[in-house]
Amino acid sequence: MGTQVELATSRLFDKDALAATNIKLYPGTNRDTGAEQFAEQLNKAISQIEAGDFDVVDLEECDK
Amino acid sequence: MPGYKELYEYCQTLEPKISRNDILNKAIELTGVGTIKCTKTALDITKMRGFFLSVGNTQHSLVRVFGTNLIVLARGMNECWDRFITVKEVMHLFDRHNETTGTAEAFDRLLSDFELLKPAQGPSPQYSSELRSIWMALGCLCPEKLRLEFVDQFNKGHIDHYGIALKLKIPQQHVKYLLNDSFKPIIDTILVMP
Repeated sequence: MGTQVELATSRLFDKDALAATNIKLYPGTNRDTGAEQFAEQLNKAISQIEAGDFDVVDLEECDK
Repeated sequence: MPGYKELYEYCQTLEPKISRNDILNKAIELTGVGTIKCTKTALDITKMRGFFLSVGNTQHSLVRVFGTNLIVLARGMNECWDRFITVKEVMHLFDRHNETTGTAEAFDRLLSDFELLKPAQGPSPQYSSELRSIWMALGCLCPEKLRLEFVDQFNKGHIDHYGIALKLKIPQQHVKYLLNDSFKPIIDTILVMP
């Protein structure tokens, strides 16, 4: 298996994967977070979402 | 910046706490994207608080659930962070084509810029859009008339950053940017960007 960045790149940009047209990030509290750690978070998030482990945010109900 | 200018002007008519849904629906109307959904999953917030993803493969299972545009938030953040990150990521609907992260090379460059900007090269268009989106989000969440009132009250010692954050329901650490003299010039520059 390659690096986390390589894995994220394949999952995001391969035509038979997400074929992402845009990805943008909001970093966390640690300013020392590196590329591999960012990519690891993306990979975990994508895996969780694909496995059904997510909570839909109903924006209509929020902020009322 | 076409689209954002109209969104900003629309937000000037709103009262805090400004609804994420109002901002999102107006952004959808102005950009013509079909939908943008929001979800939460487990992220280590010391490393990443959230992200925006636009998917090109409409056959992907994620698209069947969420559509092609998705904002992902870390579970466990407070309402202020949820709100601000949602709105910041919505701002990426206004990214110009050269600012999108749609290739491996652009992604690599974005991650590299987050790690450490290289002085000789300057920020990538992708990274620049990340920085700009913070200001754009603040511009949407605090009407200028109210911002000037906050500046006045703050300078008189009648309110502090925490009090302003509570009224706007945004993270306290971003209030200092609203109160800074450079805020309006930065927004004005963004508004006239092509």
